[in-house]
Amino acid sequence: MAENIIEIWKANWRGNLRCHALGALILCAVTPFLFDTRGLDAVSTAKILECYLILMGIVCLVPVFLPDQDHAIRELLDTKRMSPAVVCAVRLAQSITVLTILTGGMLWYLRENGCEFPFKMYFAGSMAGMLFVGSIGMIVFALTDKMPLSYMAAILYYVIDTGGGKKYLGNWYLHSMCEESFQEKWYLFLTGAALIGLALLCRTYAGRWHFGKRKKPSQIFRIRAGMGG
Amino acid sequence: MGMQLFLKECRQNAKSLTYLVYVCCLILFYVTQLGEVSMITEPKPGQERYGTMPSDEESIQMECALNELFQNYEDNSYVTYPLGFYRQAALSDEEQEYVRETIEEVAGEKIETLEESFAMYQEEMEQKMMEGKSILELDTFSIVPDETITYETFLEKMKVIDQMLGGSSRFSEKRIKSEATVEMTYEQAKEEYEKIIEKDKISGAYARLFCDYFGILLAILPVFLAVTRAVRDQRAKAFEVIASKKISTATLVLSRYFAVTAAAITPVIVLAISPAMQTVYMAKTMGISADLWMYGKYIGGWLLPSALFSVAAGFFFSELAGGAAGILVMVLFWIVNLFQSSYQLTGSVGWNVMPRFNSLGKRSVFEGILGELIQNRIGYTIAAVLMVAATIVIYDRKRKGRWKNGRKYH
Amino acid sequence: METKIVLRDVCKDYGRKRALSGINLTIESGMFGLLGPNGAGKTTLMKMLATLLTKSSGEITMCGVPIEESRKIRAMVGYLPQDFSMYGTMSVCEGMDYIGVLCGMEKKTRRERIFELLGKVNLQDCEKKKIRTLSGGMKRRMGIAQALLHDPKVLIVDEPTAGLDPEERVRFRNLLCEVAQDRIVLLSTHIVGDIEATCEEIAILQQGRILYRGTVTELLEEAKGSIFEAEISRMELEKIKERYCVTGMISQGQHVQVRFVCEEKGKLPFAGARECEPNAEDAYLYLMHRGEMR
Repeated sequence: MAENIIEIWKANWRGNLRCHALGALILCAVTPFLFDTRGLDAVSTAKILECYLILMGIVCLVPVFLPDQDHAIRELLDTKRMSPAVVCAVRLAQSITVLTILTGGMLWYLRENGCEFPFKMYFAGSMAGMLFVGSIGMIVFALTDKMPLSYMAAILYYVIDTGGGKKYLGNWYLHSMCEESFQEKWYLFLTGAALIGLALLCRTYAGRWHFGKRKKPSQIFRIRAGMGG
Repeated sequence: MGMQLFLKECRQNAKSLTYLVYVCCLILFYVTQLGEVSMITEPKPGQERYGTMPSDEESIQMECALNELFQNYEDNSYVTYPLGFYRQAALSDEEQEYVRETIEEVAGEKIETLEESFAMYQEEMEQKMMEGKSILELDTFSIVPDETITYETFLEKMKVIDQMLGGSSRFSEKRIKSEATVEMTYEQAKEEYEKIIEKDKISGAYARLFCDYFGILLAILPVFLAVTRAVRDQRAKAFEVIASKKISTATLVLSRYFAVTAAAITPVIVLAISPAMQTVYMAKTMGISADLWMYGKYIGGWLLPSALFSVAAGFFFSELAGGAAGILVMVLFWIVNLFQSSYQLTGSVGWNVMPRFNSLGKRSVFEGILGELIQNRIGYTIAAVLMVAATIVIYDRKRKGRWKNGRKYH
Repeated sequence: METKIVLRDVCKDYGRKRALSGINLTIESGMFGLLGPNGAGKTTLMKMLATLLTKSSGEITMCGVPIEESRKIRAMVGYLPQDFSMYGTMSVCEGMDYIGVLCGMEKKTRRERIFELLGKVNLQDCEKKKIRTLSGGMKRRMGIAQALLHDPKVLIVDEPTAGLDPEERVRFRNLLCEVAQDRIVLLSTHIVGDIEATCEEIAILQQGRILYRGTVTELLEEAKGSIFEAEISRMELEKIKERYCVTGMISQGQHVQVRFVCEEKGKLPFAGARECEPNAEDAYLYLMHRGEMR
């Protein structure tokens, strides 16, 4: 099983996530050109993380379902022993790993540049925000199978957050660290995790709704185990 | 052929889910942000405030720049505009020391004295606000430059600071002269009002505000429509069938491009009808003959280039590097522009893809930035044309199997 | 202008890999079959003729027009790719109309041709159906209809019958024969039966080169005297397979009726073998494995 997971990991990196990770890396790389990253206080650092680097969540998480956008591929995966949920979970883990590395790297860079902020809190807060905005894209992708619409949904939330702010979004306000508040990050994290779980569920079991006939999970297991329908 | 294909593409775009979401976003935005049109009223003598206006007076320019310099020094956060885009910069200790000395020299007072005065002002402001007074009723804090400092000397000192910030900062000569504002008197406010009546015919003032709001959305949302169209051939595996047909690549790409642009701008035009009619009615009640097409002119000249650019970027980057690339590049570009415009909500143009004018009226300010605005809009239109041309080239190469992208395209 | 496709020393490289090498062909009106194993270069050649790929060297002219004049070529060519698909949300009629616009046809002409062609491919009842709901065979039929929409002089069909049931395959072949009467139909396939049933002139590609160019009859002549049948025991089967190219096998209890190719003509390969009349598949395999057999 471990060997299979490693193979899925490698295949996803080669064929899918690598380009998106590069996009996220470029996002990080241009940060010093767009913002002054020297000697910032906590609020200014939070601004960079919450207003700009949060986009990495969208870049890295929305593509989790991209490789099997084609229904024929999804049907093929459905007939295999390994559950598609496991495959998606591996891809998700890889995306989160990339986000962790890049976020950690950026925070380290900011700290080395003399910025003062609580490292662990900011890391957790940033990850929570990224997971949340990424999960919006993921759930839309899982439901509609449309890549542009998925990105659009996530970006729209960002726009509403920037324009409307706390007034409309309450505890799901993305820029709470700029106001030195971390409580909202818990809401973002939990909601993000729930949406991701829901997206995985939709993706795995929505395909079972074949022209109105729903297959029970036990039937799916039997097909995959080669025991017949 | 082109027109027929354009109409077919429009029909296909109208049926897509992404377009439905796009239109819903625009409607929701309009209802929540613009909604009812508030009346422009004639200024009356004896009002507390009449708003602000740009000033040509050297003393005012010096005062505004000095006060901004003081605020920036306190935060160690200075705004610069490299290549017309917004950037916040911080100065080193030595540079901050120079700024401190400059402030002390120009103001004729020690920085500590100024900081004390500012702290006292803030306390007073808080006190008055707790007593229920609005912020508009309070005097603004201001550091007045020392009389011995001449305008030329002042500009020289500001030039050094501007160079420390990499040039194009708020303290460049151009910005010192253009961003000084002063409180309007009754006579000046009356003059401004007359301009709105005579030149804007009322509608123009509202149209600017409309364009300010919708400019934010039109700079980003159309890219999703463009990417949706650009990836449709690949998703449907229809590329080979289409590519082997007689139609020229230019006709094919341009039909799609104009169809998406038309789809993007049409709901905005439809949404503009209501405020346009309201302003016409408003003008009528004031005994003024309104310009019925004012909104159309503003949408065509102000909003359309943003949509053209956004759609072109979506097509170009999608063909160049895949669907997601179009979205990501444009989102990044849009966010940078959004940060820039948040610093100055009225009269912020530069090379911003969404020129801001978040004020009703202010005809004088508009006249001041009009040249820059026209340059900006033409620039973005040219950029859109270039990207569309590049898209045609790339698509044609793909059609002939000359574009590899590292592996076979089909 | 004569309806003819001429290829002279045509080569196609993908980086260091040579996909086509020194292709010399003249294809006249009628059905022309292009046969070859997977990876032989058939699709590459088809795509080059449909202007979807550019040649690395050589000359190609179609009805006197050089292939570089892609717009003129596309006006003359109807192409059915291996994996035909169109926008799934369109109906059959809408999809055909869209393609008709891409072909530069007038509205009236389009309407008439679509009606005519859908009838010809037996899709007249599916006009309003969404393309994504069509079966594989129906999609292929729609594919051929779209390829014929602008009445091209040259029809290029790339493996049109792959995945179709026998009835659909026969229907498709008959349709192609019908349309080949006044145009060039270039049919690429690795199903020998399709070629045998429809094409007189064929070319066989192998590893980017033309292995054979001529008629089916001539191909069969070439293989004459090399095809044998024998009844052998199961134990001998492996030995036979190692020595000869087996083209057919029928199990009969402990014995197996084998059909095989033996390069040495005029001599029985072993006792019990008898010479038989080659079919197209035998002849194709004889050609493919010539030189490999002992």
